[in-house]
Amino acid sequence: MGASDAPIVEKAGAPARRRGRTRVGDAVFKGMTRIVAFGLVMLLVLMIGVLAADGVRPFREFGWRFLIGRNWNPVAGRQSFGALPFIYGTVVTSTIAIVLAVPVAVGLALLLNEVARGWLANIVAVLVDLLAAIPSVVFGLWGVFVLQPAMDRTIEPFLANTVGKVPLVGPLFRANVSGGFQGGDVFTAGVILAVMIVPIVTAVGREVVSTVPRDLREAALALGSTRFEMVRMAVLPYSRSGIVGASMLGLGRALGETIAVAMVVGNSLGIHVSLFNGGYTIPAVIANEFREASSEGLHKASLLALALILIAIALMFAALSRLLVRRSAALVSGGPAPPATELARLEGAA
Amino acid sequence: MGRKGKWAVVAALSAFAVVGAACSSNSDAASGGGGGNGGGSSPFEGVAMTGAGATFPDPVYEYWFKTFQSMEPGAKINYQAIGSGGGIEQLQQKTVDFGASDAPLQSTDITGFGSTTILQFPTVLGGVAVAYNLKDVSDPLKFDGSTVADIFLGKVKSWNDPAITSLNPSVTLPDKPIQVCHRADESGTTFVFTNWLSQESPEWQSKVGADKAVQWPVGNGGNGNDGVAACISQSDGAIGYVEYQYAVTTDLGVALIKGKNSSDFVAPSVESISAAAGGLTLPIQPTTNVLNSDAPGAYPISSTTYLLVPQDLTPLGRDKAQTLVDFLYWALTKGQSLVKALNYAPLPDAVAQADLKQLDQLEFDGSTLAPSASVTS
Repeated sequence: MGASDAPIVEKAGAPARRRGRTRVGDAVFKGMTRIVAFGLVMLLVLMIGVLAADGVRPFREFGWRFLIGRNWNPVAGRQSFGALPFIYGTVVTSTIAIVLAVPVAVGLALLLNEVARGWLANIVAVLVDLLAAIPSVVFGLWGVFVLQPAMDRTIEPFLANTVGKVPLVGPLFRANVSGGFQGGDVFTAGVILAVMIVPIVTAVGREVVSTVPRDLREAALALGSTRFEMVRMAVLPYSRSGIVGASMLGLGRALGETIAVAMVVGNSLGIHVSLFNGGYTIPAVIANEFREASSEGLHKASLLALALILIAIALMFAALSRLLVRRSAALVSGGPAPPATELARLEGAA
Repeated sequence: MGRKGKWAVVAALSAFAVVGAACSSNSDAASGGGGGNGGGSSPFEGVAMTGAGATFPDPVYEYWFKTFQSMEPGAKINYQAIGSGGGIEQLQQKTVDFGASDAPLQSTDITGFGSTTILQFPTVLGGVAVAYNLKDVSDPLKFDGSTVADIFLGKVKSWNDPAITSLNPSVTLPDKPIQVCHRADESGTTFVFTNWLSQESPEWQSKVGADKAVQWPVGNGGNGNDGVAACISQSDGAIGYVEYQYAVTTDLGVALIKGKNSSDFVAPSVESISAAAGGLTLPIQPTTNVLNSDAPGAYPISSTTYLLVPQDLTPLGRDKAQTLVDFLYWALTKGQSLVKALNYAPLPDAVAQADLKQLDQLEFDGSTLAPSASVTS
């Protein structure tokens, strides 16, 4: 930087002073970025530390059985806490969201980059971005008053009558424990989460797809492939790692989403095979139960422990995504794709 | 250079903002103090004070404090609805002038106050309504405690279960699954409701118990009364519980509940909830309860709420002590007639009289404080 600046500076007529100032500026900039970076890391460490200070109590009380315990009983004198229903609900709702959202988002990204061009692409892109701007509590309201009734009356009974009869996956789509389809459930929560994460996965997916080198596309077309074959043989393999990264960003959002999920997930402790039963997620239980100022000590500590578990789950998925990104990057001939490493870094920071 | 100029402007603006904020908080404090100083002259003006505690009576208290200010203009009472437990804690730490709780003080709370004696004043009553959403059924349904407990235990699963049909012989009930809705957050409503279920059903008592939040055997949770109401209204065949004053503002079905020692089924209303306090005697004991009252016409799932006031008001200073006494006197007399508008139930006359008598036990410098003329006239 300084070297390339030099000739211009000399032209300006005050080389020494100018140069000195640049160096000071560089040093200040370097120092500031370091302080910010270090501060961020410290913040994470402090947060985990503060959570752990109280959050270890349930582990001390119940041992590792806290992780697999299915009770969550805050009644004085009967206190017993276990994290399993919340871990289950968090993982299942996020998984549903990813399974539903990623194909849609990848399709949208391809549509915007490969198929539609010009005004149509612009309109769709703006609409998808607008979706990202909707506050999650609005999604929650929409979920309670529009999506959930539609699910209860039409979609879930339909799924139970069709997919529910297929062996293997069928049991996932059966009537809930009370014998009907009424009430919030993990499936509805997963669908809302899917809608919420489509924009981010689409936006990142678009960037990824747009980095596929022109020669690769043209080579595929020159070999006589159709547009679909070009996408399948040239675009998708090259951007696979980036798409994995984009999905993981979406998963990160789904794991932490609180209010929209709390409004439709049912806030119920059960762990059932059918997705049409109510469930509970870690962010939802923390939001619902943390309010009363003087909760009994162990109850509060257990909520803090759940927060720790949520961080652990998120970090696990982040690590997993780095691994996936690296592996699929290695699979593409010609070494790691630039967007993949970029995303891996993003993931690591999140 | 241009950059620098911009930063300077930002810095100057933020400095102004900080100074401005400091000034405005100063002037707030000054005006509060001014009200206190003015209290010496003949019609007592009241002073600013703070209280904290129960959320259930919060709408009444806010309304009372606002109206009371027209009696004593300086009496700006700041109430924080942080929950009964928080209110007791803050009063123990003396960070507030008075507390409020939905449950009477327990022995552990009383030890927490050390040598300070706390007087508990019942102020207002509320009820918990059992609300349901059942299309095609227009007559109000009747329930007794054990049936409601069995529904919330998941033992009665269908609307045409014999347990329900036998209580409602004249109603044709559909073969629909029952969807239970309950609170997901901690709440005094849950405390009252689960206490009632525990009294009515030994099985509930042993399996679930009573508290501000419990481990629900079945059903979905909603956040707040609105959350539960949404849960009920969104599902045909749903049943849940909400505060009475909330139930009357929705179009949900509200169940009649079988009285304690009678064969009558009582609908929640301002009158039937007031009637539940018929047997209330002072001083308040840890076991004091208006649940399942055997007073005639009483709605079984009723509860009262208490203001917690230290018996010795000397540490508050004379102005604050006088304001507090005035407020209590006013709330227990004229204030009572205001609560109906908010769908809360006033205290029965006898209880309000006993409350007023307890007012005489409050001390300042060893002598009682008479309420000012502004509230007695």
